[in-house]
Formats: sequence, C-alpha cells, structure tokens
Amino acid sequence: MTEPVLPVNRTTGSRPQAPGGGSTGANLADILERVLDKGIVIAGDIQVNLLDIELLTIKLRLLVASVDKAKEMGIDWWEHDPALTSTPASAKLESENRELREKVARLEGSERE
Amino acid sequence: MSAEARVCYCYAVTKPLPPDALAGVPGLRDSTVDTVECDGLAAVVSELPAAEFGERALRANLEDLGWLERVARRHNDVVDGVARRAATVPFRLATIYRDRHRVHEVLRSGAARIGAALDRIEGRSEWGLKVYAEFAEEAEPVPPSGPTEPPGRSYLRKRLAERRSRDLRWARVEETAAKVDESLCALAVDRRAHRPQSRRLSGDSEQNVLNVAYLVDDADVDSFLARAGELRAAARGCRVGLTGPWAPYSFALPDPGATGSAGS
Repeated sequence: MTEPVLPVNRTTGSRPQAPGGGSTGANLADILERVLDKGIVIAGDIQVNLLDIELLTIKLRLLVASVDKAKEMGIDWWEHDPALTSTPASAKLESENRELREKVARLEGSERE
Repeated sequence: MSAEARVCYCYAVTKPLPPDALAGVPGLRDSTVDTVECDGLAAVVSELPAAEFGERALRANLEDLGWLERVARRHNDVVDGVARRAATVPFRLATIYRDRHRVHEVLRSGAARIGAALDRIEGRSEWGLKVYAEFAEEAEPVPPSGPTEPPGRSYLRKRLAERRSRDLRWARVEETAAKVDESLCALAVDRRAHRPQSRRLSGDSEQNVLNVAYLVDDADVDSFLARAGELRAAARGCRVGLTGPWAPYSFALPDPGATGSAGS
C-alpha cells in the first residue's frame, strides 16, 4: 500500500544463528510450543478446539502401544514433544484432557520416579 | 459455484511489503503466499482448499499427527520467511477465515492491538534458551560404613547419602540455570518463561530445567550470542542450548503477568 517497509535490520549480511542450530534446526517440540501455544490469537471463522499440545501428546501415547513399537514404526517426532498446557477452548476439552492425563498417569505409574 | 471452495489461512501480520517480496516463500501445500492489506498492516495469507482446511476437515486433520507436523513446520517456515524481510507478528496455527474480505475486516477491527504488537517487536528477534540437567554421571561416592554397623543402618545411610548428593546436584543446576537466565536477561528487552519440555515424553536422559524465550534487539544480538556461548562453555553439570532466531512468537501478546519482563 503506502511506503513499503524496508527489510528489518536483522544485523547485516547473513542472519546470526545460535551456536548449535538456528530455528531451522529446531526440534519439532520447539516449533509446536510456539505455533500452537504462542502467536497472536484472533478468533478465526473456523473454530477448532484441538490446539492443546498436551492433549495431542496424550492421545498419541494412548494410540501407540509403546515407545519401542512407535520407534519401530518410525514414528518418533513426538519423542521431543513437550507436555505443555494451553488454555483449553472449552470445559469439555478440559475435562477430556484431565481424564486422559489421569489415564496415562495410571498406565505409566510404574515408570515414574 | 467454484468446483473447489477455498478458505483464507493467515500466517502472520507484517507491514505492507513491496510487490513480489514473498515470491520465494512457498505456503502450505506449496500454495502462493501473498498479503491482504488494511490501514498499514498486511496479513500474510494463502488461499487453501476447504476440503483440507475447512472446519470439518481441519478437526480430523489436526488429529493426524503427521499432518500436524507438516503444517506446523511449513507455518513456521512461512512466518520465518516473512520475519527475514520485515517486522512480523505470527498468528497462532490454523487461524483461518472464509475469504480475504473477512481478513480485511479482522485487520481493521484489530488494528490497534496488532499495530501495538508490531511496534513491540520491530527490530527484534526471539531466541530460545533451554538448560538441561546432566545427571548421567555416577553418584558421588558414599562414605564407607563402619565395620560394626548393622546392614540395615548401612543401607539407610547409603540411601540418605544418595539423596543428599542428588539434592546438591539439583541445587547446583538450578543455581547455574538462574545465573545463565539472569545474565542473558540483561541483554534482552523482554523474557517469557515456557514450560520445561517433558523428559518422560522426550525419552531423553537429560531433564529440562529451564525453557525461556528472550526478545533481543538486533543491535544486541552479537553480544547476546557471545555471552550465551561463554555461559554454555562455563556450565558444569548442565547443558545450555540456544535456538533462534525465531519470529517473535512468544512476544506476540503483551506480557500477561506484566511482572515477568526482563531488565533494561
């Protein structure tokens, strides 16, 4: 529209990178904790509730028989998945979340320290 | 009407860009990325098939973790591509409107809030810090029990010594993490704490004890990185990991607590 914005001065030349990997090398957990739980929230026309990363994680845990089985199947990205809570979009989701967590806690009781 | 209904997926908001500025940035499903502009703001959008991104399809697709991973990564790639060109506030994943007209309306009605967010992050980038406890090493040696000590007491003494040793190491790690945080805070304009990433789910032997995001001025990035490097090299008993630069996801909203912001 009016006056195009010049590229932001993210220091000159190539972008500085974190020693040991920039966001390009970030693991999926780092990306998910940002794209699902952060960012500006403005209600879209399409309402979806399933943006609770912890719930996603728990569902996956129940789905997959065991960690080793999942590894065999090459499904391992969630190994780096943080268990994060975001505000559930509804009380229903919240209670579902809680039930699933309790279920997982029971199932994994023996693994805990 | 049209054979394929479409919806308008929003990645981020920036300021109006020169034409073709986003030509090299592939969107979700390799779609074209362009902008909807209003009042000095530009929403970065792609028009995508409702068959995949409409309400019904989206509900099902979000349960498909492979789909979610692909969408999350590409969403981040687009946001990152825009952030390399101009100040950018990312939208949360799957912010979707019926059409471009609706996006225009949203920009108009949210102009004050979005403009404030853009001002807050202009000329700054986000960096992620994670500190992990390294507990792989052997427990500190337990003093030998006296020759006449009964076995039960010896066992208890050993357990107690182990617990003390573990508590001590935890305290050291927490102290180191706090020092690293404080030191980097001094070079940042803002800070947000994230929840530590779960070890049970990561399957990692290292426990994530600190997970923070900093908002750093472009002018301070070099000194921030240099200091992070020094802190990483000096850390004992824990590992210091840095990621970035990120688009300022963690700073898109004003600090909810208004007490957690960093110094300077």
